[in-house]
Amino acid sequence: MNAQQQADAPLLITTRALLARSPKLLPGLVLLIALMIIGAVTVDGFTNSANVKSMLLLASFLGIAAYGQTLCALVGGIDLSIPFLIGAANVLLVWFLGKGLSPGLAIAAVLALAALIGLLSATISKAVRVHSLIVTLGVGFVVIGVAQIVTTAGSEFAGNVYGTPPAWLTEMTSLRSTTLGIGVPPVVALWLVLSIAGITFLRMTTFGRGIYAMGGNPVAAERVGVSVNTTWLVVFMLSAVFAALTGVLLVGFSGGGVVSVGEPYLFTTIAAVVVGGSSLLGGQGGYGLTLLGVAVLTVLQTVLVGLGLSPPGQETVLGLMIIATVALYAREPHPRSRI
Amino acid sequence: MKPNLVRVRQTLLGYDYAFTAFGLLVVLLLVAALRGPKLFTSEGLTIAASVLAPLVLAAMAATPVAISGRGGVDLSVGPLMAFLNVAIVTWLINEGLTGVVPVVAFALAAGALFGLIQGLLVSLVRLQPVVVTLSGFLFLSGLANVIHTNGSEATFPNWLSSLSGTTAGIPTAAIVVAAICLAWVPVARSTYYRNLRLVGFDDRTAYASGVNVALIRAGAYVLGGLLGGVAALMLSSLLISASPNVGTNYTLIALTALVLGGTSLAGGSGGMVGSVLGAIDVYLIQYALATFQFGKSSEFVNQVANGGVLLIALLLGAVAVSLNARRRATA
Amino acid sequence: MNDSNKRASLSSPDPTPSTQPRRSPGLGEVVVTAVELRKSFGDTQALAGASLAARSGEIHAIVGENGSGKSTLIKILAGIYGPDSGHTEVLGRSSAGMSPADILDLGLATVFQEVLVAEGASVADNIFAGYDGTFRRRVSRGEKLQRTGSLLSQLTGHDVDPTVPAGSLSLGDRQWVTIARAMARAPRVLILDESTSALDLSGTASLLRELERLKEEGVCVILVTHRIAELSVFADRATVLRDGATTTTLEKSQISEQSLLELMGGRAPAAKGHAASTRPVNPEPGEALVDASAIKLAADAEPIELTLRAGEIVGLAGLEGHGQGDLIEVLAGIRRPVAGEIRTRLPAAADGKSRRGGIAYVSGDRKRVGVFPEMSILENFGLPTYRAHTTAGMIRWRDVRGALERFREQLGLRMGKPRASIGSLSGGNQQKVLIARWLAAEPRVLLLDDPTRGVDAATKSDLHGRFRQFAREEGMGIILLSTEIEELLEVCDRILVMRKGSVAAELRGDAGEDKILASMFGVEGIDDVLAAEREATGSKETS
Repeated sequence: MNAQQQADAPLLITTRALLARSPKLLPGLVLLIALMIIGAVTVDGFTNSANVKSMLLLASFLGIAAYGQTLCALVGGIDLSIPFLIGAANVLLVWFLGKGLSPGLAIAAVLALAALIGLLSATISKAVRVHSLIVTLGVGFVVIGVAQIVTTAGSEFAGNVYGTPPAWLTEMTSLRSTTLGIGVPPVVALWLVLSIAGITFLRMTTFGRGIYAMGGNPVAAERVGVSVNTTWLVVFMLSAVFAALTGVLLVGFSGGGVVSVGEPYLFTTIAAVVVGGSSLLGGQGGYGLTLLGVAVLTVLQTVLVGLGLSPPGQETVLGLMIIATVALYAREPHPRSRI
Repeated sequence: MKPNLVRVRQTLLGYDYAFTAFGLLVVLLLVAALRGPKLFTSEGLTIAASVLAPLVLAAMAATPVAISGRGGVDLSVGPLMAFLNVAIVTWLINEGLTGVVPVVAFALAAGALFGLIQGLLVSLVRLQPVVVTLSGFLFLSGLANVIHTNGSEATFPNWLSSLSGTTAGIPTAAIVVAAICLAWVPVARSTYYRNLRLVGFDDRTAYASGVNVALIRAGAYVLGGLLGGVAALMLSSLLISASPNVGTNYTLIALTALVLGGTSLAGGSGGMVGSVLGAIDVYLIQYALATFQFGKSSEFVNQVANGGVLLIALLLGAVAVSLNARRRATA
Repeated sequence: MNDSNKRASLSSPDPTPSTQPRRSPGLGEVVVTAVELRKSFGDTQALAGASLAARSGEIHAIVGENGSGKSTLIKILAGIYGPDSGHTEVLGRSSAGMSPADILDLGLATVFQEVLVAEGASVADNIFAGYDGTFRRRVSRGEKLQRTGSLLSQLTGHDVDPTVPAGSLSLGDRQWVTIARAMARAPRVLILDESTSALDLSGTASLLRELERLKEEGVCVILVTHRIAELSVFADRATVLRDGATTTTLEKSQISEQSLLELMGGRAPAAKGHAASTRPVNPEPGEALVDASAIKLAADAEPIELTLRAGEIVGLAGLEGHGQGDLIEVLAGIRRPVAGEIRTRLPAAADGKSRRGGIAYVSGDRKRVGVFPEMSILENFGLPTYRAHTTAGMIRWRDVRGALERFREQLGLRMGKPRASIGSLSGGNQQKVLIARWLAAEPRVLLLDDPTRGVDAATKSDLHGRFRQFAREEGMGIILLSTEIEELLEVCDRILVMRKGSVAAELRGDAGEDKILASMFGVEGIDDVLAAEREATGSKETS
């Protein structure tokens, strides 16, 4: 490929060109490789196919949920309702199925509800001008509470919904499944497809570029024809939908409706975005970087588990890692430069 | 108007940010009196005070950080309380260190130290407070669970558990909270606090006028950590055990109380009075909800209420700001 | 001496908070020195050898065009940032590495160009910001209130409640607060950076009176202002900056509007006349493109009539804040006028967004409303054009690159790879990218709002040529708002001078500076200021 073709086709890209364009990838890549080496050395069975498959499976859930968080970060927001939406989608899907809805309709209903919730979050945070983090936290609590009230009414079990997910859904997320002959569960393939679509959307469509413009300079963005309000709304709606999708996929994985299934995702989606190198201040980064962050986090988790560290211990390490990476990428300007 | 009345009116207007929380308090007290008059018995008040104490102190702990501005919000206040609670039990009480001095000193020192670290990350390294306190949340949540041992625990020292009882007929927890509030008064009148408000309103102006912005802002986080330490003590007294996972709940309630109390997350305005009233409001809302028999769903109703109150408080605050702006524009 | 008592009423019975021993410099001693200061921010060279020597007991002006480095020089003196090279001395001490607090302690107080007021804090807290230490109070609250009240009533001539939030004050009063803040320190050096911008004529006169008084008491007053007419009356000496370096320092006898403008602009009057005569003759303008009638920018402003025709370049001039910026925003559709309407047959958008063949608005405030700092040159150029270059939703980057190439040639844009970050370009070239952005929509009308602000001289000249080309050869109608009279004279066919929100005069493009200046200040304006000065001098003589 000559330079002209490279520049014209952002998707078909060599590693060198990638690094040249996104120098931020380098620390993340180094970290990832380092962790993989540590894993291969210290953890038994790290490199065998079962473990790789398992890591890919875990990564796909986080990856899908983190797409929405990436979009929010690009416009300078944070979506804390993601874990709550995952949990709510999880129980609501099983509940809908229990009420007799066909799987297709049930999933559509869950995703549609999520879109509405995203719309709500976006509208409130725009109206209130408070960081979207606080608003989405409040919305998240309301959503999870309502979801549990609805699913608890008339049942003996509080909160969790017992039921059987459709077989194809379970198969999608099972370690025993294969996709077109390759030994990975179909959900990984789904993640791949969504990733390609998601990156294309961000890099190659007018709306996607508008997201970056808005994150970089909202005033100028309006002048060039980007509707800041519409962009904000769409971003939060997509974030909610992707979170709900993750919740739906997890039904196959967990075998029933469990509301706490979203809890591990409370901050890991933010961590994936931050560790990947996108800026929380907006306008910079992208899903490609987040994929790197997801990979780092998944490998890290596997290594820590292999080393015997419990989930809380992993949380601790995660907290430290976020600080370290943000200190590299996202320092705020000194008051003196704002005078 | 008589000069004394004028002065009283002037002073009251200085607390106008807390009017919503106060109004809500009056309404909620009425509701509580009607739906659950048991609250107003001696026993009811003692229990209420013990439950309220960590809530009020958590809200107070989150306040200086919010006032310090530039998006200051302390997400780590809940996990700090949980962590200190577990640490006190695991490292001190289980090891036989049950005296007032070591326990209190530890809580305050550890809280202040953590606050200092967060404060330096915000003011010197200049990381967004949201991200710093979020990482703090994760770090402490995880750490609390890590150090928590599920073995049999030694008995709690009497002085600590008695903080949830009564002293001369008055709930001890209320006395403790009142004492902290009294101790806060000189802080609120101090030059430091005045500087903190200025930094919160506009740190550029403060910097250009020679104010040591970094030191003052970091100090707000230290204050938050100190108050978090006190909150942890009252939490331990309430639970009489180590509970590493209560952090999330306290963070949410603290933030809700803060917002309800009229403290702006943009910095500068608001104060402790609002946060205290806001915390009492949140507690009374939960109390009122508990009087309705939601059965299995009561926990979920609480969740909805917590989230809903936060959102409504934010919306009310935005309405107030825009009304104020309109009033000023036409004045 | 009466003077020390006078000062006592403004300052305090209590010694000033300066930590340095107070030795009163003799009148005429140099108290502020800057030697060969250099400072760059990224790719922009703000200062390239600026020097200053200001004495006690004088009013020392610093003059220069936009982008000449005045504010950067002030901020370095105030301790906001340090220079890359060169050194500074204040009151006999090197001020290298000093923070704003240290500088204030030394006795140098600054009023910045930006009206720095913490809107939520009280007026008193704003004035005494930083006066106390971090923990220790230096002045009691009661005294703060009292001194705030007396200081502000002395400065503004009316009463201001010291306890109200500063945000409730008018802009003019807020400016006074920032001035009072500096004066409350009883400084030995007082720097004011464009501090009269928010003040009206009587406020300005009042301030100048105060400064005269301080000068009598031996204070060194450094005044940065673009109000050249005032300077020539009040300034004892003037240091002229151009492109970040000091050209010269003039003594009082050498200060005149003429000399200042020459030094700021860098051309001798003879050369300017020459340039004027080589301007291409204005051909007959074509059809009316935009018709603005009965436009009122404020309730009490005179209505404005303006017709822009194809092939002509109309200039907008005026002192800061007299409405030219608002007018161009009205024409761009970003601002709604109080009254009046815009008639145009072009497909104009009502929100500043460009439509093909319509009206394009290019601002000079690149950082705020133009540039996307993290994006590439290609994207900064092409964002508005994506919609026209998509297939099945995907942007055809090749087409966008092609468009950029065409403009690169047309505008003489100096850049590397299109995918390089916009930050890699100089200010002038960044501005060209933004101009290209709007040209890509093939507008009929180009509204240029100070488009060459902060752009180097060569690029500026280049752009001027291209503007003329757009008008003459492509039949565009152009409105050029500029704060540099020379630029207007260079480019425009006719110039509208704005005063107090409406058109004070319409002049031909080769009218000459004097006429333009006179219209900008309004003959009455200068006289008012002079009268106020005479009053002040007169009252001093009789006391």
